[in-house]
Amino acid sequence: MRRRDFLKLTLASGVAGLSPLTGRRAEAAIANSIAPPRQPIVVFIHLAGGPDLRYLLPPAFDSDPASYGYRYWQVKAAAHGLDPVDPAAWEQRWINDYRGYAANGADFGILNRAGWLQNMWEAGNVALVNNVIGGVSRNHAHCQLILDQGNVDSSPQDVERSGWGGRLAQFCGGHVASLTSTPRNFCFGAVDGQPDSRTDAPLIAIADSRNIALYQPAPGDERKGAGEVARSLKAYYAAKRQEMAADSVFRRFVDHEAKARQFGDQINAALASEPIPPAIEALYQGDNTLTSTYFGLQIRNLRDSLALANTLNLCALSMEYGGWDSHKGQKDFIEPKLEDLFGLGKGLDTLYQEIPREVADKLVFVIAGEFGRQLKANGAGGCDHGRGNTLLVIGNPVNGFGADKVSTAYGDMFPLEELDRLDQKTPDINGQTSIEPVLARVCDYVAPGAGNAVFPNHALRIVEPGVDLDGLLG
Amino acid sequence: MTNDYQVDKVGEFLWQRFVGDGLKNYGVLERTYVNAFLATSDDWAATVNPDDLDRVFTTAELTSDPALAALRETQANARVAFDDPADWRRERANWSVGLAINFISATPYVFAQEGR
Repeated sequence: MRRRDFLKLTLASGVAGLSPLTGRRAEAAIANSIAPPRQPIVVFIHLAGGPDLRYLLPPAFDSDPASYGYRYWQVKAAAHGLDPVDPAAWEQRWINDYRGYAANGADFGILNRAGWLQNMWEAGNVALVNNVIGGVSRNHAHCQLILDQGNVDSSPQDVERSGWGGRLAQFCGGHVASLTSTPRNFCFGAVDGQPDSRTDAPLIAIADSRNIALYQPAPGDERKGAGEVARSLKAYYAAKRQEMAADSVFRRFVDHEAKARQFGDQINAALASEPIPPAIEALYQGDNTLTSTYFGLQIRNLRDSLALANTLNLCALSMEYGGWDSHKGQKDFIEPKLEDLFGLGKGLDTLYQEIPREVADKLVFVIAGEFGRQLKANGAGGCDHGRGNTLLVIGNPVNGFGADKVSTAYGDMFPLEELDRLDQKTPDINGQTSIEPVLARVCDYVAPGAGNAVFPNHALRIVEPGVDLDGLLG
Repeated sequence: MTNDYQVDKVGEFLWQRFVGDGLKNYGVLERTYVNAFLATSDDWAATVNPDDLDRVFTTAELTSDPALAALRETQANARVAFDDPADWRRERANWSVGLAINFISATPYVFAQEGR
C-alpha cells in the first residue's frame, strides 16, 4: 500500500470509528453534581524523566533512503525494538502500530496504544507544539525545576522560586490544587508578585481527595488507639482555642487546626454525594488497574477536584507521571506509560467518560517533560538525554470551539536539518520555541492578561519562525 | 528521674524529650491528657465518662471541679508498669507510651520553637 493511501484509509477509519469524547459511559449516570467550572482550568501533567514524545508521534515511514521518514526509522529502530538494517520491519511497525495523520506539511503517526489521543486529534482538540525548549543542561532535576517554575533562567540552585501554576492561581485570585503525593514546584506562588520568591499561599494539597480531612474515628472505633488520640486532640484544641492568648506564637497552629478541620469537613460533605465512578476506581484498584496506580489515583483526585472546582476556586491543577528515562529497552519501558495516559479506557479517556461535556469544555491539559531525547537510539535499545521536545496542549478549547476545527502542529515536526547532525555524537532536537511563550498563551486563555503576569519575560524568549500561537486556544 | 515510673514524671520526661521547652508549655491540659494515656491506656474523656467521649475540658474546670481534680491526681500518681513481671502489662505500658507520644507530637508546641 502506498503511504498516502494508507494515511487516507486510517484517517477515514478513525473518523468512522470515533466514539464520543465525553460522557460515553454516562449520560444518565453523569447527570451528576459536577457543575461546570466558572473559569477555564489548566491541568499540567509533568512527565518527569525526559519522555521521547517523538516515539509517540513519529514520522510516517518513507521508503526513500534520503527522506526523513526513512532516516528516522533507521536511527531509531532499536528504540522501537527493531533491527536497524531491516526497512521492511520498520514499515510493518509503522503500519501495524501507528495511525497516520498530516499536519503542518508533515505526515506523522500517533501510537495505536494512544487511542484516546487519536480520537482527540481527530476531534480537533490537540495542538502539538514542536521543538519546544526549557532547560538545556540535560539534567533531570534542573530541567524539571525550569519546567515547573516556567523560568528558563533558573539555575539548579534556584529551588526557592515560584511556579507558573502558583503564579497563575494568584493572578486569578484562586488556587492551584496539587494532586500528587508531594506538591511540585509548579504549585508555589510568588510573594508580593516577585517571581523569584515562593509561598504556598495559593496551594491546596489534594494528594488523596477522599482522605483530606483530619482523622476522625468511624463509629465503633472511638475507643481504639487512633480514635482515642484523635478525640483527645480535638477536645484539647477546642479548649486551647478558648484559652490561648491571641498574641501567642503558637496561636496560628491552634487556629490552623480549626481551619483544617472545617475545610476537611466541607470537602467530605461535598464529596459524600459524589460517589467514585467504578471505571475511575478501577484505574487504581482491582484486577485491571493502570500500570501506574499512582496516576490512577491522581485521575480520581482530578475528577473530585473538578467537582470542587468552584468551591475551592481552582484555576490550575498539578499532576505528574514519572519514569520516562528510557536509556535502555525503550519500547517496553515507555509504551505502557503512554497507554496509561492516552489509551482507550485508560487514564484520560476514562476521566473524559466520567465528566459532562460542559466540564470538559473548561479543561486544558498541558503535557510535557523536562527535555526530549536524542535523535538516535543508543546501543541498549534506548535513547539518551536530549533537549528539545514536543509539548502537547489537549482539550475541547484547543483550536477553538468551531465545528470544523482541526488539530494543529506548531513548528516543524521533523526539521530536515536534523539529518545533517545524525553523525554527531549526541544529536538532539534543536529547541526553537521557549516554553515560556507557549505557557503564557495557555495562561492568557485561563485568565486574560495572565500571560504577562505569570511569565514576565516571555516576550524576550525565542519562538520558531512561522509559529503564531494566537489560535492555540479559545 | 521518673520516681520509679510515676505517671506524672514519665509524662514530663516524654514532653521534655519531644518538645524540650523545660516544661514551660506543659500545662494542665497537656498534663491531663498525657497522664490519662499513661495511667490507663485510655483517653481522658473516657476515664471521666465513657458515655460522653467528645466532651471538651477547660483548664478552669479541670482545676476547680473536685471530682476531676481528684481523678487527675490519682492518674498522676499511678505507676507505669514498665517493670511489671507480667508481659502483657509491660506491653500495655509500651502501648500507653505510644499514645502519649502521639498526642504530644500533635500539640502546637512541636511545630515551632520559641527564643530562636
